[in-house]
Amino acid sequence: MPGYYDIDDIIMEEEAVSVVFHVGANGVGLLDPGSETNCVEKGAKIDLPFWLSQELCRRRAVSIIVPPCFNQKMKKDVQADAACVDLGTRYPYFYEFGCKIFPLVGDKSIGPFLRHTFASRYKEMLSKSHTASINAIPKFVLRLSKEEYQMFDAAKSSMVEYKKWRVSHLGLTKSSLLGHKRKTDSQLSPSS
Amino acid sequence: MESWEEEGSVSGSGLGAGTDVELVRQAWRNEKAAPEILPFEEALVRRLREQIQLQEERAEELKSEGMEDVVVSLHHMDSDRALFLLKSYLRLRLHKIEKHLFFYSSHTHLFARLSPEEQLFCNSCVDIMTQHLKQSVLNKLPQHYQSVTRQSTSSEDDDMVDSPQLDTFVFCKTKTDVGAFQLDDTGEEIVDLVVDDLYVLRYKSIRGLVESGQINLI
Amino acid sequence: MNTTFKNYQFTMLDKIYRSEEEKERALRLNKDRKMAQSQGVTVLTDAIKACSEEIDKYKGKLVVKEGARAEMYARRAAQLLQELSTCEEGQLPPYNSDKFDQVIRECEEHSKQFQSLIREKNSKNLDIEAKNEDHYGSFIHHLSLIRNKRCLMAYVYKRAEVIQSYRWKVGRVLPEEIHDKLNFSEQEYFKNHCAVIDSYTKDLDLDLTVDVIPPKDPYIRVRVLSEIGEVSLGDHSVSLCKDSLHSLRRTDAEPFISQGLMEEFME
Repeated sequence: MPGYYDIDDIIMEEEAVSVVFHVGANGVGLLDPGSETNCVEKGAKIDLPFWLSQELCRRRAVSIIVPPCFNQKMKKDVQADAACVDLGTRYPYFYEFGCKIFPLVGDKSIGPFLRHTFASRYKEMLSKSHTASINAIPKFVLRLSKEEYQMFDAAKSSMVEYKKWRVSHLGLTKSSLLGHKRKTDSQLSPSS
Repeated sequence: MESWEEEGSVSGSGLGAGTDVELVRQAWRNEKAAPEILPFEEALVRRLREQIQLQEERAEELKSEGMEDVVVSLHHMDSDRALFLLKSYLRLRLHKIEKHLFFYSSHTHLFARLSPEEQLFCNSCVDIMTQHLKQSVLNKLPQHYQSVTRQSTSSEDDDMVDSPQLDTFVFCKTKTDVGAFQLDDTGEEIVDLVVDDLYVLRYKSIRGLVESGQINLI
Repeated sequence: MNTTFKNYQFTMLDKIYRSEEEKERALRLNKDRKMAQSQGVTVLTDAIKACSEEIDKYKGKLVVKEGARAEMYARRAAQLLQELSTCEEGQLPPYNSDKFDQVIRECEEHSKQFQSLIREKNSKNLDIEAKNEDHYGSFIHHLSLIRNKRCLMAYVYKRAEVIQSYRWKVGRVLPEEIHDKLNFSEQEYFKNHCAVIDSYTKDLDLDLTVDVIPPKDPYIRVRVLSEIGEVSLGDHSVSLCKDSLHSLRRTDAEPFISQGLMEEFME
């Protein structure tokens, strides 16, 4: 489970989801732009951030509507060509969000759908990460979700380190935290 | 290299040939791969430090006896590399402690795995981190939300304290023949662990085997 | 010939007359145009004045409900973290105390609302376990509070982690460019953290901040980049002048190299 201080997890939980209230709530009218009073009425359908929806759903105060990233259209897009689906722009936390929302919406197909999407996209990502050059960013990288990008980056940097280790002299260098390094330094030795 | 090997066998302190360096190397690899802190190898570290010290002294002796620079520097290099391994091992442990400060300081059986110096380090880090968090955030929040380990006074446990992720997959190699091994509590996953084979398993399942030395992490 | 000349004269006069006429017409048109222009400008100016007066009537009275929603319920706190996450790994943006303080004020507001809803619920003499609208409202404010707390804690904690790495990667003295990004508490924390590491180093009699990469040679050749001056290394002292070359023990040179004060000299 992601930690309390995990920034990616916190940002991911800011995603908006549509919920339907089973109860009324006083003093929170700001949540509902359509509300005339300072209350949310029972039956109201509004968008709430996921962190709030999650807790309210667990206490059966609301039910969460399946978000668009897991609907039929998305499933069809993935079926057609998984690698072309732009998760980077549309749903950067696709997998993490899916894992968290899946037990709350009661849609059993989300789990296998996540696995299938990941597996289909993994092959292309794996091959491209090992052949990507140090400086250029391939276009397909922009379509990767955050989690996929972390994997891509790890694979790419391990390839880069391996190549450096094979040909270079491991020298000491100025800390990468201090300003910009000269190109010649970075070609000769890895950062500390 | 031949003359150095002879020299090494004559002086009897060739670190590369001894098993302590190998043991520290394995302890270092285990520590690197394991998500939680492992028991401190106190005796091993002490022996290695003594040997490094002897090696350095031997190198100085040879230098004053007029031995060739090449041989002297090879001795230095040997002890330097052993010292690097030792320092890296200790650094790894410090970083792990810093990553889960509140967790290790509040779980006695894990705290006991730290060396006396590390325990002091852990407690001091907890103190300065708590002071910093209180000063920056907690003292400014409403009354029931000022705890550093609990989200509010209505929390049932320390829900702000992160524990190491024991579910992480690790690469490992068996040292001995373990045979049929149950990976989970339900008994559904059983793996046959054969000696000298490579596996990728959840750390949680093989925790006990790592502790007993039957399996090494890579 | 006379007739021809007279005809020519008439034609010329005619031409002159016509061109004069045209000139006059053009002048008249120009005058009209200018008049029209200035009339048009007046119309526009009057229109602008009228609109401005109308706007001024409503200034300060318009309340944008959508804006308020965007600011309450921990949205601002999440923005703090976005700032942090877009920064390069190992680097920090300047401490955003304005936004931080705004989030603290939001927490106070949530706390007030929470207490007022609890009082409201208690005044209705219901069962303590009863879950009415006041209960759910107060619960939402409580959740917002702990969400804000989590964001603020993560902000400070994540920054503290980067500050911890500075001791290992940069040294005991922080360059101005980094120092200026920290608030007072963070600067204190850095000093305290260095002291804890120094204490551990002393107990162990081993400096863990050197020897960060596997050594190949105990001695390395270095070029001094900035004037360092006289330095005591073990049993002898060395004068580290700018641009001078030296052969030093790797562990002695390491701290200077990581701070950018000298570089390894490679042939």
